[in-house]
Amino acid sequence: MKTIRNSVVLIVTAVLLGQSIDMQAQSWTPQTKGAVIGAGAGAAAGAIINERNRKVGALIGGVAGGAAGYAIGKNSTRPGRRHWSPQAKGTAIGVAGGAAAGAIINKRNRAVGGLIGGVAGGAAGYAIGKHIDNKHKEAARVAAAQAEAQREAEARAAERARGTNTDNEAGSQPTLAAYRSRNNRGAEPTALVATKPALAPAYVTNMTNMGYLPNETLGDPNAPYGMSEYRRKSW
Amino acid sequence: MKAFITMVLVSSIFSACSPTGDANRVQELDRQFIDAWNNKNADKINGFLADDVDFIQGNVHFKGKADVSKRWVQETLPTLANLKTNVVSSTTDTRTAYEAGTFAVDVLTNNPEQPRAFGEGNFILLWKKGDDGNWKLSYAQLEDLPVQAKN
Repeated sequence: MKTIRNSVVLIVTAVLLGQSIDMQAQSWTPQTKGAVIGAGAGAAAGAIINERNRKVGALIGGVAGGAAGYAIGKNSTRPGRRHWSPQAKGTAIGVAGGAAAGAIINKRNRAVGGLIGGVAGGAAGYAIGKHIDNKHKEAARVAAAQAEAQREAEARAAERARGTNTDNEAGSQPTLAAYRSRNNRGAEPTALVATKPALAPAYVTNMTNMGYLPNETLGDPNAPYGMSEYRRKSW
Repeated sequence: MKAFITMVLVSSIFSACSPTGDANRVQELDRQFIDAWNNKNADKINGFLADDVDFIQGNVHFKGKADVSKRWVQETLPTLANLKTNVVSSTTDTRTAYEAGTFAVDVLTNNPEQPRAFGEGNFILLWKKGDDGNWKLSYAQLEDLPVQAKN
């Protein structure tokens, strides 16, 4: 009974610690993160293992875990080191944590307990890792789209500055078809760049493809319809 | 002969005060005003503006002849051509006259990369007769629909 209680305490502590670490992790270095996780887990494990003197056990476990976590965190920042995917990391942590918890809980057959705990923990860890990976990929996609839109805007501005536009010969304005043909660069995330105050080419193309002109005074509260994304001012 | 002259005078007086004559007045004012826009004649347009004219368009309100001339007339004149109006409502009395309806106009953009376009919208032009007997544009309100690219 005592062992079960201790195991529950260990798991709850690990979960709380993990959530807390996850919230703080954005601003922490890998060394700090590793040291904190190691210290917390080591202290909890030490307190459980050393039944005679839990304080000493927690102290020793915390110091040892913190040192080990720091070393692991530092190692993870080495240049050229191949990083684990979030799924792999989550699975490994889940398997280790689950196996340990299972072995502690199932006193009669620690091997079976460890096996069941490891499988369950691994599955849960993989699911968490996959979720984290999806969030990273989405953030990377958004950043890439923004960078691409910025590059397009700069290229267009440079082209205008050089005066290399050959479509406007004899002072006549191009047709809508020619304008669409020149500016349509394929599947660009127009919904994303449309929120930018500057008139990015993808936004301009999107407006024109819908048959409207972009509002060149967008964001100017002193201009008529300055808050409209498409041009409204005609007379 | 005397009776004939009297009849002509009386009919002239009545016709001068008739609603048809008033309606012609506001029509003529608006025709000259629109012609001035199409002829790019900023001086003539400004000549129609009252000193305390109000101009409202979307989120902006320009007040006074100088402000309206600078921020509406001068800024808009280079960007339009072939302005046409379709009057939906109109009335005139001895001191005021107005016409309201829809307008259509070709839009000339400053950006050579943009295609030709046209705009539509709703308008109201309110004229008031000054103490000197001249009619001036007292209030103008435009509500423009999205400018559409021409195919």
